[in-house]
Amino acid sequence: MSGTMSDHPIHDRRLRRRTILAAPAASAAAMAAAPQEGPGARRPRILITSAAHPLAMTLARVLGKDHQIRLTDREPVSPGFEFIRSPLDKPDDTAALVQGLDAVVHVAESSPGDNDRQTLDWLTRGTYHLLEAASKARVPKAVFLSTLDLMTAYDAGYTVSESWRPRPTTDARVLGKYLGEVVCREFARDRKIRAMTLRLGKVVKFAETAGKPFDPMWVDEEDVAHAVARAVAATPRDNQQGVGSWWAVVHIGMDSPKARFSVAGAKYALNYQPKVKW
Amino acid sequence: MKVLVTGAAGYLGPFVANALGKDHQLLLSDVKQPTQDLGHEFRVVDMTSFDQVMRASEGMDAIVNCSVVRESERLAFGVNTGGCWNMMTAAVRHGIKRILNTGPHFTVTGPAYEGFDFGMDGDVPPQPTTILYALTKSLGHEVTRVFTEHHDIHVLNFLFYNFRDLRGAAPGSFNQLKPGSNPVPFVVTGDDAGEAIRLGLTVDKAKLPSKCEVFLILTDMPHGKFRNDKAKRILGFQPKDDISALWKKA
Repeated sequence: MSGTMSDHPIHDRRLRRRTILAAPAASAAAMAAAPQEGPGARRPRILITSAAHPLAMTLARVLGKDHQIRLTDREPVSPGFEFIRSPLDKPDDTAALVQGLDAVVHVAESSPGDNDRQTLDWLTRGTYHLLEAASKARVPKAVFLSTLDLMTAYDAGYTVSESWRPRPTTDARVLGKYLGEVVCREFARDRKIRAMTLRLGKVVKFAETAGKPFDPMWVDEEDVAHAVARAVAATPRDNQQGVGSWWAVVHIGMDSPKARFSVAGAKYALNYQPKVKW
Repeated sequence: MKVLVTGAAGYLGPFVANALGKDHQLLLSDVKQPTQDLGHEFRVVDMTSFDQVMRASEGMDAIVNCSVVRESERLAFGVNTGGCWNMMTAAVRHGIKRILNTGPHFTVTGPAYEGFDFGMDGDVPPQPTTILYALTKSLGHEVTRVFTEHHDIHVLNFLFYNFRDLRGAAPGSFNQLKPGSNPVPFVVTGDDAGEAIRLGLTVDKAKLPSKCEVFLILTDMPHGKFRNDKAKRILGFQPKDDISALWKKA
């Protein structure tokens, strides 16, 4: 038996601590693909921003199985997917970027070397341009990737959830992520684009955490990718908070009693089922 | 008190300078040279430039931010949002404890309120919607609020809507109080606005409910749409100019 199980990821030496949970009844990919099933069906087209960021590439790889991926960033990258260079700061360029999309996934990470002002500008004005263009092009959904750093000011002993007020620091990235959320929220309120914010913990590769001191903010990047896929695929449900409204926030972290923040909201709204368990 | 006034060459700036000039040492600034002598030291300061804001803020006891961009999206974000970041960062580094930030009413009470509700004051969650001017000012407002949560700084956000300048009320001009001419339920004269800012600059911080407060600055109006009682109660604001002709029949 050990011979046959040795090929399973759970027995991979690098992944020995990994616990594979039961597969969800309906995968996010299946949810996303369901309306387009059949010969010649068009796969949903998704734009992913900040293509040079490692998380964007993971998202592209995971979502690319069931979606047509378009990537963008301020500087050229060679991702192996359709790529359109855009600084998200010109209405015409950004309008072309979002044509024909079913969703935008705004990773919203500034570039290495950006100063505080550039970071703040990218997270506010860049988000504004993207949402402005998406709403005009009638893109039905935007997923904004924010950070759980907005919530760490609360006592670690509190059961902080999405219904608690964000408490950003004045750090440009953290404050900028918060302001980016505000921009998305106002577009959801005003333009009726379905905007969902995923506040991410500290995104890591599970295998690279071996031997490191445990961090209750960790979240595996593959789990993040699956959460994003579910957010893209989620359909509105009447009389339900969360994905049923125009604006929703969910916390994406590890699913563990030791976690800094609960993911109960994400499990309810997205059927989020992280595979990695520290 | 040494006070930096930004956006001093705009509509509100001269009224602020007039109201503060008697009791305070002013450094007026704007991105462009004023067309008239404002009667105080003046320096060109671009609010989008962190270095320029830092240098102008050095040695100041307070900042009154009247800078504003309404249309150009790059500048609107740069001045209305990024300018607040520059101002607050400079305030932290120079130990400036009081900021008076100004903006339009829809920084907080945007169309989702204005189009539906009555009896509004500034103590409601901001809903600027996606109007560029309102949204960028609201983001700037949030920047100031977040800074007050981490630093010993008090920010008074003064929101305005419609101004009248009685001193410039030439016949046929916008400022003339033509009977029944103004449907906007939120008006204040420039002089009364300047006086409100003068009061805000020196109000005892013990009277402020928090380190970041919003005040709607309007004259006494019968419409019941917006309220100025918070400014009256906390700042001692009492609008003096009579503009009631605006809502009276001829």
